[in-house]
Amino acid sequence: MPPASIRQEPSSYQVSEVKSESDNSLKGRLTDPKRATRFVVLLGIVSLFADMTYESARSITGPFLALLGASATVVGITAGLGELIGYALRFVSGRIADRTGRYWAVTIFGYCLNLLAVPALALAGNWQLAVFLMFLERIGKAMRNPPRDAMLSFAASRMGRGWSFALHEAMDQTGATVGPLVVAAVLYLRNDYRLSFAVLLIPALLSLAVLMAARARYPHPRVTLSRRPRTWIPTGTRDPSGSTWQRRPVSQPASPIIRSLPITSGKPAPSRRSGFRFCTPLPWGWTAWRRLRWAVSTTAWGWPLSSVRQQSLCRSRPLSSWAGSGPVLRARSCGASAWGHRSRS
Amino acid sequence: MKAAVAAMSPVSRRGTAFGTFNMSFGMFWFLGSAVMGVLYDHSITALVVFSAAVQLASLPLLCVVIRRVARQSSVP
Repeated sequence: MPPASIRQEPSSYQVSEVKSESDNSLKGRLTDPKRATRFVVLLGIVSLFADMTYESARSITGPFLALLGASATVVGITAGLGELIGYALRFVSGRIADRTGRYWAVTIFGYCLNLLAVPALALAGNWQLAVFLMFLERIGKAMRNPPRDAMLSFAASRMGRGWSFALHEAMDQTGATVGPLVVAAVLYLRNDYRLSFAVLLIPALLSLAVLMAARARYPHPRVTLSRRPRTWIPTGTRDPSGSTWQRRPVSQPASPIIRSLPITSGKPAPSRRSGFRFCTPLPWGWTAWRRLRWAVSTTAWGWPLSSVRQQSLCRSRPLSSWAGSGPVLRARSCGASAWGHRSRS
Repeated sequence: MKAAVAAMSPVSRRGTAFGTFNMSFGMFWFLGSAVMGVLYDHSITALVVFSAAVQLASLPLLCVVIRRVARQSSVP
């Protein structure tokens, strides 16, 4: 866990609510590459405990239903229909999350339904109620999944999609392995299904607690995570225009082996914008002039904007859309990043 | 899979994209299970042929998707 003093975000982007030390937190927010990783790890812990909860429950619901007097047909239909509902509803929840922008609200609602229905099975007196709770659990899973994956994908735009989803999935599967083992141990020792379900209240509450902590730390994942950090890296080699600085490539070109396969267009996709035009094919002097102009406009715009308007910058669309839409906007975004860097040292 | 879906969809419609993907996945999962069950009662050979044929049918689809994505990403 990072120290809260550095990583905490203001709960709202209203300028009036920004504290004086928010310079630090903003800088951390925009430039810290580990931030997205931390978000993915937090959601991974949530999934770990959540999987411990409902995967272990699902491993014993069949015999439990049979114990309550349900027939094999009922058990089969419950499993199949529950799964179908759990997938069919995902379109609905994903759409709701996108239309309202309330990814956290939908996710938390889904997790609550998903996780609290499991320990409630311990109280189910007949199989009808148990079946209802199992459907509720599946519906909760359907509600939470698309918005959660969307939030993961926002973080993924910074840390690499494969890596972020893989990290999350690994933690998810760890929980799905450990959970049923724990429940099996409880069943073996006590031979009590209700106790096994009741024990699952512990991982359920842990999962919800971590989820709330993640929500408090990252209240606006789409805004604060779905952008690349504004870092400019020296490439070490001079490109044809004479500039030693290049924008970090949006995606690495595929390896020669991958490129030789007949599945891609053969060449890496060109970046959509030319960045800040550092790499224009112009004479050296012209580049120097541009750079000077950039420095001046950065200083002029950056200082007031980095202290006052940074919140509105945070809200804005990705950097690429700022870059080409006029010299003023360009200077503003450059300024914020440059002054952000300066205030760090 | 999730990473591929994320790569194909705009940021503002990620939830819908994941929802659509999962919904179709679940629907066809259900359909497939039902068909397989019926086939299992009918004849084992039919089941084997069906499952192999369906899996092979996914390959050309995959090629079409990959080509389309590559074309879209190369045109700004």
